[in-house]
Amino acid sequence: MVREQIKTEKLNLWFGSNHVLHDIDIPIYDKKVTAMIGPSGCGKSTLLRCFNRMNDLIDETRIKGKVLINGEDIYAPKADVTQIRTRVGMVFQKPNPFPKSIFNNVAYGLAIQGKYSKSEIKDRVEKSLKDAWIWDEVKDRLHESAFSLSGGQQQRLCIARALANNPEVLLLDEPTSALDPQSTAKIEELCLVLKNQVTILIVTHNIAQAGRISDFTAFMYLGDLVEFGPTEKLFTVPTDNRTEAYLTGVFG
Amino acid sequence: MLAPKILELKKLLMAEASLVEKMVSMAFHGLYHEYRESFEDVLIFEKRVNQLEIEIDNKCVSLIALNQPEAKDLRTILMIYKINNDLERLGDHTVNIAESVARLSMNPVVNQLPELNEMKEKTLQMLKESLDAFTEESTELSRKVCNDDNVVDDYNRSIAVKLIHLMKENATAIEEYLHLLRIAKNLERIADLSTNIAESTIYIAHGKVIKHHADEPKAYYALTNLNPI
Repeated sequence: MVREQIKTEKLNLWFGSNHVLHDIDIPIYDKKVTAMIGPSGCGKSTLLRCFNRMNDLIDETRIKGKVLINGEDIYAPKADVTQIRTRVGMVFQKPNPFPKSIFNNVAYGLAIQGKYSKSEIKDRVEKSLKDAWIWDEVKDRLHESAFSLSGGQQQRLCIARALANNPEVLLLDEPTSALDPQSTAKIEELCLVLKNQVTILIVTHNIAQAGRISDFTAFMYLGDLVEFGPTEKLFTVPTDNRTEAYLTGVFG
Repeated sequence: MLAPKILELKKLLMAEASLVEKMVSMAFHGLYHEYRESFEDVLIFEKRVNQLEIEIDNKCVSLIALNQPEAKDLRTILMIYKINNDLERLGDHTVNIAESVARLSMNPVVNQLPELNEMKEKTLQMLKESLDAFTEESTELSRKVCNDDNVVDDYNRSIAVKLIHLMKENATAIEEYLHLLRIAKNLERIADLSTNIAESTIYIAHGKVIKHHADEPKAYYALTNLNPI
């Protein structure tokens, strides 16, 4: 039986007077891949960024409703934002390694927490790089700059960096749209393996990608969650005409 | 990423195929041996074949919808979808045969038509070879199956001629002879469907359409005096 790990209740979000998300109720299931699709500006990235409070960084953001992770409201007044972002890792569209060595990109987040010994950090870095399928490519050059890596490698390094904190959830915001087909395939296969250890949410413009890797798909349009369900069902017999139209390329 | 899913689909299709093969043998067994439950047993198998047909259909649709297969992957899934349909039709023809066999069981008129047994052997061989060719992706064996279709067609024609002759001689057994004619007709359809399966295998392997002589239009049109469009 699948467990609801994240749940939103009547989630609304405004940027100033712009009402971006309307009454979103969505369940995100534990150790599954959930894809969020929809045309540009439909609110899918904004919804994704609600799950680790990244929208807090944008001025004039106002939120109503609840986002529960394992039953805890992450927007409750006493919620610890740093701790939330440790539990919910994120990878962005463009690979954004720190201007540091490959090793330090992964080690940095662990080191500043001040609770791990050097050897613990070393072990964790190695495990994260292995889990992100990049260890074999970088193990002999750990102290070279992260910028010496290719785009696909940099993106896997960013995934390793997110994994280093042992997150419960991994948010991927169009993680392959800046990558070539081979690097994309590698990241897709990686997602299929990583879902055994972490819940994955992925925003993608590539409908085919959602089909290939996700267990559940959410279709959003103009700030509404139009349809949510098992990907197999949504991709073969969607219930809403707007989903059908988007998947068949009539609009979007 | 798609290969293991296609393999799983192929295995399911072969499970359906082996049920159909057993059905055909079972249907005929009652014609020459004491086997009163033959028809009921065939119906039980047909039910299972129909269930598998729906299951395979759904899997093909999901696989295409979720993975956007290309090239050989696409050809294989499309042909599995088609062969699946052929197998279900094969099951229907076998039920027709079993129905007529139930009326004829151990009837001596059957011995007047030894060609029917030869026709059955040839048809079963074609069916088996078409399925072997699919699993091995053998175009050579597939082409042999396509060529053998003529042999079964010839049997069907000569059996019809012989049965008309027998009916004229012995009008009291017309009903039995009509059942024999029906069996031959359904065997001929089984051979046609086996040919379809073989043509699908050639399409998977080479992307080449050979049905209706589509690969040799000039020769075909010359033969039929039709003008190519």
